[in-house]
Amino acid sequence: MTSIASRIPVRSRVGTGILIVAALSLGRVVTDHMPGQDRHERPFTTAAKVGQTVHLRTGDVVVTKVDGGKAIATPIEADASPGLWVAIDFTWTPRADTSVLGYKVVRTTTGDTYDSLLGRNVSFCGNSIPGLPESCRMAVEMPPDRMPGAVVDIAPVFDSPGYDSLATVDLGITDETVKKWQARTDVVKIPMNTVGTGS
Amino acid sequence: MTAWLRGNRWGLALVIPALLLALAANSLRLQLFWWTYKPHVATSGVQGKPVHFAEDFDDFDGHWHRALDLTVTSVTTVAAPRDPDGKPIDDARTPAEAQWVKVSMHVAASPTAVLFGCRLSLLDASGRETEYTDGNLVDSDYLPISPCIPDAHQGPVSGGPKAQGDAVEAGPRPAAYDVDAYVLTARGFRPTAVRLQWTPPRYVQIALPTT
Amino acid sequence: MGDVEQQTPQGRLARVWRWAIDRPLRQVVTGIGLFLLLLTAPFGGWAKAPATATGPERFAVGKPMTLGPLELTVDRASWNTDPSNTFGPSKVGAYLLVIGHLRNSSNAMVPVGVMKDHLRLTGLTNVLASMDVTDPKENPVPPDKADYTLYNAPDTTVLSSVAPGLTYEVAYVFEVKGTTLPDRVTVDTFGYTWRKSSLDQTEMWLDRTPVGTVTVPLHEGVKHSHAPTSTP
Repeated sequence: MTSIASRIPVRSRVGTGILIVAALSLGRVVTDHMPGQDRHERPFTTAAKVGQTVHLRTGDVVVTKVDGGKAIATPIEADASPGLWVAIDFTWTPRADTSVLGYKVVRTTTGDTYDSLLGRNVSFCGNSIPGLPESCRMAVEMPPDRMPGAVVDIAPVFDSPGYDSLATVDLGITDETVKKWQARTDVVKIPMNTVGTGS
Repeated sequence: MTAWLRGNRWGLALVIPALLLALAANSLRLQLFWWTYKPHVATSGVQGKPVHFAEDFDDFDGHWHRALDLTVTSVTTVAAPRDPDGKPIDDARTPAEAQWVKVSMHVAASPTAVLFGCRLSLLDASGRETEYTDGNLVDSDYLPISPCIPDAHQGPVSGGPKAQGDAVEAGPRPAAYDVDAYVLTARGFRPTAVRLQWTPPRYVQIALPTT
Repeated sequence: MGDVEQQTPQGRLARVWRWAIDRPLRQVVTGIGLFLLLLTAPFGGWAKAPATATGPERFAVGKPMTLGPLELTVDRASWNTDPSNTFGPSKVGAYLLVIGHLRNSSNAMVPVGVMKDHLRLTGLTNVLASMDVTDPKENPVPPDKADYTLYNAPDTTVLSSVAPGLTYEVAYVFEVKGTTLPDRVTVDTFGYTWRKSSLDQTEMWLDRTPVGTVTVPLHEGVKHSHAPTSTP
């Protein structure tokens, strides 16, 4: 009894083999050209300026003030930086239940990121009462020459903001702003976060 | 076509149950990682009537049981919170965008029941939830950590013998008591329900009368 | 089965195929081998694997060392029982400070793992597990297990991470039992590679490898001034 394999002509077996290799190669080429992880996990971004309210998935955020200097003082600690501090005030109003503003990162035009939750950086924001605005504060230290054109990325989640909404707010820092901040001799005071938009 | 269907009828018949079985097997993840961590098992009641709530729980001392009869007597908006002694907290500095909601409750439970660690929240008609917290605005010395127990005699913090002994020494919690909780909410927030919970997924929810 | 030869693509292919299998066995086997080699081309071929790093290098004091995202220059070392009013006098001995400059040359904040592990003391037998862990039951530890607390020297604040593009004046602070210390100390430094983690495919600093070793003179430093300092 001849085997099944020997009943298929050699020609079509070789042809099948070639087709399989071709399919695998094509598959490899396609996968290499697919959009990477970064692209299909990208956040839903809204660009804004200081003073403009952005509607994120879980609440509204508006940057109200941008200040800077060589040294800051919070109720917890006083820090002098080898670079400059940028201190950002913003208002956060959660829309739904218990949501906080987790991701607050300053990003330069060259792609450097300064996370307010790491190192000596400051992040005071914790309200999660739906409909109640909170005055939040953050500060990051960075090299003065990377400050012009920097933006702050704000999103409702703590880790990377992929798949979620993200506000990108232009901090409006120019070379003049940096010079002004470098010339400051007083300390930038950063109070704790407070409920409400009053002082 | 019909010949094929007839030939494969048993296989086809088993597809649906097999699919359901596969889905059920995968839902173990839902149970393990989600169901037990969110409030899903409600004990419901209405304002003015006592609701019996009971659950088993684990703490660092072991496995225990807690049971209480909860009555929400009133839910009203007030100008300022009061401390556990009833004195108004004048320096609360409530912002214009906020309001205080006072939740008055009557609780009946065994003095040995662990009620410490309760989480109280108010829900409105659109499902928004505002949680009670002692830290928002007022110096946390004024507002208690657990809003469902009397501040002076809180009862045991766990089921273990040491915690029980400490509670007896400090003065046991009364078997029945009244307590007020002050919840900071956004101005205009209209609560339609009060929710009290300790360990998810169980919780007790009291519906408030719609006016 | 005898085929009628035709001048069609199929006919030509059949003739080529028959030519191939009519070759001597040795040539057929070689042919198959070459074909298999060709197969590897669409899958990456036989590209060279990246070379592995060499061992640690001796660095002079004051020379920068590249440690993954960090660039560290060790300048000096000193010790004292009470060098700073931020952490008060040592209850078990003294504090040992390795002082230098630390720069973040990457484009993101440096992760905690890299911050904690890129420098180690060697040769000392009286180092404590860390500044906070002074329990005699857990001490002293071998010097490569001793953790430091990294301070920004000008204002004595703890640096749990450092910002891209900034160079900090830093002090690595260790605590030692007693005040018997040699006149020099050798520190080992470690670098990292930026690559995809095989666990979850995210890119991170991995593969901690010895990069350099520096020997720096160690002498008693100044006690902090007890004069009242202005508080912010």
